[in-house]
Amino acid sequence: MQYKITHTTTYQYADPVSVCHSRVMMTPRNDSRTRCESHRIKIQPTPQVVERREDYFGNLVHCFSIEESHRQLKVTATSRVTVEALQLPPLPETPPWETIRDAVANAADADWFPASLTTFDSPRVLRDATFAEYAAESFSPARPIVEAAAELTERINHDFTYDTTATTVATPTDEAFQMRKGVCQDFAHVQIACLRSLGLPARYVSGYLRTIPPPGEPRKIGADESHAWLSIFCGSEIGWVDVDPTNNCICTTDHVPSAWGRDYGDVTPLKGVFLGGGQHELTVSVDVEPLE
Amino acid sequence: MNDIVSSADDDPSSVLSSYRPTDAVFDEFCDADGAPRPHWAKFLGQLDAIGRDEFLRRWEQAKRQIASDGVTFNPHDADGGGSRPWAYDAIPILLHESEWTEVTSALEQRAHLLELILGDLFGPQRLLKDRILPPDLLFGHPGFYPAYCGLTPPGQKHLTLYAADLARAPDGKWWVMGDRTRAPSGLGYALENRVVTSRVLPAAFRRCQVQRLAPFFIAMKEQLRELAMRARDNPRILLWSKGSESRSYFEDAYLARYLGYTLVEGGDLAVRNGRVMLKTLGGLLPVEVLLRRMNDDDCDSVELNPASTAGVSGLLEIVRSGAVAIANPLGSRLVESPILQAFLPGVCRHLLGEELKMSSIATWWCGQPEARQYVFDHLDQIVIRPAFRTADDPPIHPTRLSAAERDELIAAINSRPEQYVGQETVMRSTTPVMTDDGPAPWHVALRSFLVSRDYGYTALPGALARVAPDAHDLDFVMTAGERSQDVWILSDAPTPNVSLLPVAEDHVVLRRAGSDLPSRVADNFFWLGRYVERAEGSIRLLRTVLELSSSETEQPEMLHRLYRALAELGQIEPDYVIDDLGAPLPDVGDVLLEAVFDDRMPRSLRSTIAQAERLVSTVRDRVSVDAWRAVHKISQASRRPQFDVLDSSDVLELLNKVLTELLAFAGLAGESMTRTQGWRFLDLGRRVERAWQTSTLLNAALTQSIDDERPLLDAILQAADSIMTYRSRYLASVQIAAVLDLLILDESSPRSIAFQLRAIEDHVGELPRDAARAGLSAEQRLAVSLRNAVRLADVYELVKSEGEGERPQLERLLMRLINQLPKLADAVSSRFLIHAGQPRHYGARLAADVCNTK
Repeated sequence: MQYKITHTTTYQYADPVSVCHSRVMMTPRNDSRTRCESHRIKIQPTPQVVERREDYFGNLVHCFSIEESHRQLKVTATSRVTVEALQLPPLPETPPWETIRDAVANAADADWFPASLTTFDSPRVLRDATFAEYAAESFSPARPIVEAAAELTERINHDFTYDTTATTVATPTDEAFQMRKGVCQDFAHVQIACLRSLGLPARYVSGYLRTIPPPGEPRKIGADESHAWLSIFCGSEIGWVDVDPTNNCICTTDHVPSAWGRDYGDVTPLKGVFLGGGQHELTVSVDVEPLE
Repeated sequence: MNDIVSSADDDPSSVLSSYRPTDAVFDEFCDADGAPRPHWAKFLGQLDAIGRDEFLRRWEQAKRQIASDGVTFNPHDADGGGSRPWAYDAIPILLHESEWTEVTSALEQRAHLLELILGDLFGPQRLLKDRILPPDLLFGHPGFYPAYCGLTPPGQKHLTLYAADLARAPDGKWWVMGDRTRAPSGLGYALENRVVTSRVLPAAFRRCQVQRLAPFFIAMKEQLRELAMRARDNPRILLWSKGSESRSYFEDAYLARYLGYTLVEGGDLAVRNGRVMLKTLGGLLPVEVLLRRMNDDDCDSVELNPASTAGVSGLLEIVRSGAVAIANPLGSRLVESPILQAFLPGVCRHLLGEELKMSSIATWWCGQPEARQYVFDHLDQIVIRPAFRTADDPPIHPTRLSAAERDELIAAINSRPEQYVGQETVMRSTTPVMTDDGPAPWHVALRSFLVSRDYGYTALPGALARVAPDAHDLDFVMTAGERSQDVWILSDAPTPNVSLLPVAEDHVVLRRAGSDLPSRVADNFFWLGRYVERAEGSIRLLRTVLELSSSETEQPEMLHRLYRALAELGQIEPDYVIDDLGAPLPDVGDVLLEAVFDDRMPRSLRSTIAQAERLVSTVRDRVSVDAWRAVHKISQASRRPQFDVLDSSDVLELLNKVLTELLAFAGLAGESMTRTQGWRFLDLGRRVERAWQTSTLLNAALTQSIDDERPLLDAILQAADSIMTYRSRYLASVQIAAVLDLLILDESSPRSIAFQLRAIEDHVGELPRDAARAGLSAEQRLAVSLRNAVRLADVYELVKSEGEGERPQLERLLMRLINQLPKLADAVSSRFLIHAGQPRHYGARLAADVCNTK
């Protein structure tokens, strides 16, 4: 499947902003199933300095500073990406989850090291017994890992209410968990907390989701989603499997990852600081256009 | 504190003859038989040559000196807590260089090892991948940010400054109790101890061939200079402090002065055009090296802790590019965690192929089941510490816990074992300390300092010694009840004299103006000037009022005018001077006495002086020690006396004393401060304040004429410190026109408003300005217009009264001054002093703004 993705972020300020320092993570990653064919980032006004580098996780980051007064900041990221379908063995044939946990903890798995990082606490995801208890219902002893993960994804999708007003970007994961409410970011954090509390490696993924219009209606341009889900390590044979608790699915060609990290803080699409600005208004539009 | 009485039994003049060490611990001074160790002999001879009384006298003098120099430390971990004078003990600890060389060679190895570990953790991570270290050490560390990885450019060391906390066991062996790799504190105190001890015992210091500390600081300066990527012969190196509220601020300022670096806070710095810039009055100046005292996490809110406001936004990107170097590099604190000590011997063998030359205190990390079991089996012999040290928490002594507390501790360890380590303890050595009961054996903790060089690390030939009667007090941060001692490393050969002053060949570019004054510091000088002048003006008026209200020739109307002036200057509550002549005057006199000390009123004398003291501490790296002492004395003098009821003679006496100290400060500022921008802002603040005070006083007292004005005019001349000038010109004939001429219009009188305005106009004309801009700046325009208004005023018009006695011309002129002077101050602030506000974060609410509902 090939897509053209256009992600536009606009900040309109009531007062001039004198300076900003920002970093952008909007470039789709190359991975076993995804290939970024071309990519372009346009920043208006034109920054004094733009640096391009890879972060610790291998995500592509653009750092820029604008040091002249501006009332609008517009970042447009355009990419062409090819996504291949996920190949999974039948879920009941995936390894028992404890073997994955132990193989990472004991460095027995060939890919234990990058997985190990995602078993620890991170600033927004703190392991806790209550998460472990919730997860244990799905992760019964020796249950195949992907089957258990899929069930946990389904339970979160079922037990939690999607509510854009219940949480903010700063709501701690345990609070969202208690409320059983939140948005895709909270859902992903909750499931990551559940998995890590069992000792399993899980990382946060930010990216794009293609939305399929209802039958008979045309595709609406710009109505697609900048989205977040998570990825669970299932041993070096299977690798990382992405699941989306917001949409209750195992991700395949509708999800295009752009960055992953320990949690939202590592992969925020646009982060940074600015001086001045007064009241401001943020508009984001995402267009995921299938090319085939 | 004349409480030191020695109870020497044999020789009353000998300082240490009554010293008796405790059994079962190593003593630095006595050997196992109780005889002084040979390397103390020369020192002992010198000490006894002075005799006990003289020694104690000099020590008392030194303590007073420390108090008046404001050498303080804050014993609490929380920044902003109260600080107290540095507790110092005049007897040094003596170590022979043969022993010290062994210690430092072991520490050089250790510093090198820690540097290699940091380089690996933030680079290839082989130690983790090869399972030499558990991944918890990095990934489980609450202070770990992935941004630290790959941050320090290749070729730069990951550890510039290192300190080790040492203890000596009963068998005489030294142990490393802990590592300090973030921004080791204590160097400044070690230096101050040396300065004071060599002053108390100058002859002993010379004769004992004590190794000098200065070569270490020279090495440190060279090392920092070599970190610079550009301008290597004269890079701009700044000492980055957490700020005047932090507990290390005294030391930061002390070191900045000694090393000759500008002391800055995060707000003084900004990232512009790919460089780190210092915001100064003269504009933005590029910075090459930052000597960091900041916490790692707080340095850049873009990539590190987003909640921190103390850092420099965008800093990490500049570090990555190599345009600025930071010492210690960010993330360095990760290797000071106790968890690492459990693995250090193995890592040393793995990386260096040799054994650790000095053992760390035995440490068991509870994240490993066998180690945890060992800890549980030996709870009575060990202490428990957090595995990832983020604060200087005291260790937990299981033996001191109740049974219930012990169970809680075990439960806590079992639920998060990786968060704890168990450590052995060392029975620390003792050394003589002068107590009220004579010399006593107190336990010793040494902190040793190292700095990186091309070839490895070099150690300070000395150390910071902390001594306490209870050895447990030395296991964490400086606590109350302990003292500090100098450490002398004795050489067999004479030691060369070394100084930090540059040698003659290194010629520097001659400079006159210091334009690199951080804008924040200029602002502090400006307000310091305002506060000291406000204090001075308030005292003069208070004194006049107190004298009049207690004298017999009481004039209610005149006093009422003066009270009004006091109220407008914020000295008393305005309620006392409601304009109702029919009502009897409230008993302001009594209120007044307490109002002087009322720190709830923002402009009271006590509050004003407290502000001045706070400000002088924020610029203490830029004012002389004398100026600091002067402000300290002003503050001391202005405390409320300890009587229950104050009478006016007590307060008058106190006001006179404070005034004398204020004048001493003014004299210092006038005669000893270089005419830098700092001085200019101090003086500008003073002039603005004086002009405003005089205008306010005249406005409250003279814009409405009264029957017999002469006593009131007399009082005003007193309050404006112009009575002598007046009498020398007009003898006893007091007339309002002559008074106003002297106090407002006469440019030759340093007390007149016109004089202040002329000085203000000069100052704002000299401030740095954009050469490309034509015409006058806003503050210049205001200064010129005020000065002209005063120059053009006709004194006979000013005194003219109308109908009910109002003087409309006078009132108009004074009101203009009262309203415009603050505007002038604001104009200066907005152009030079106040830079843009707090940075704000992009609130990219990815989820709520963008995701559709499911």
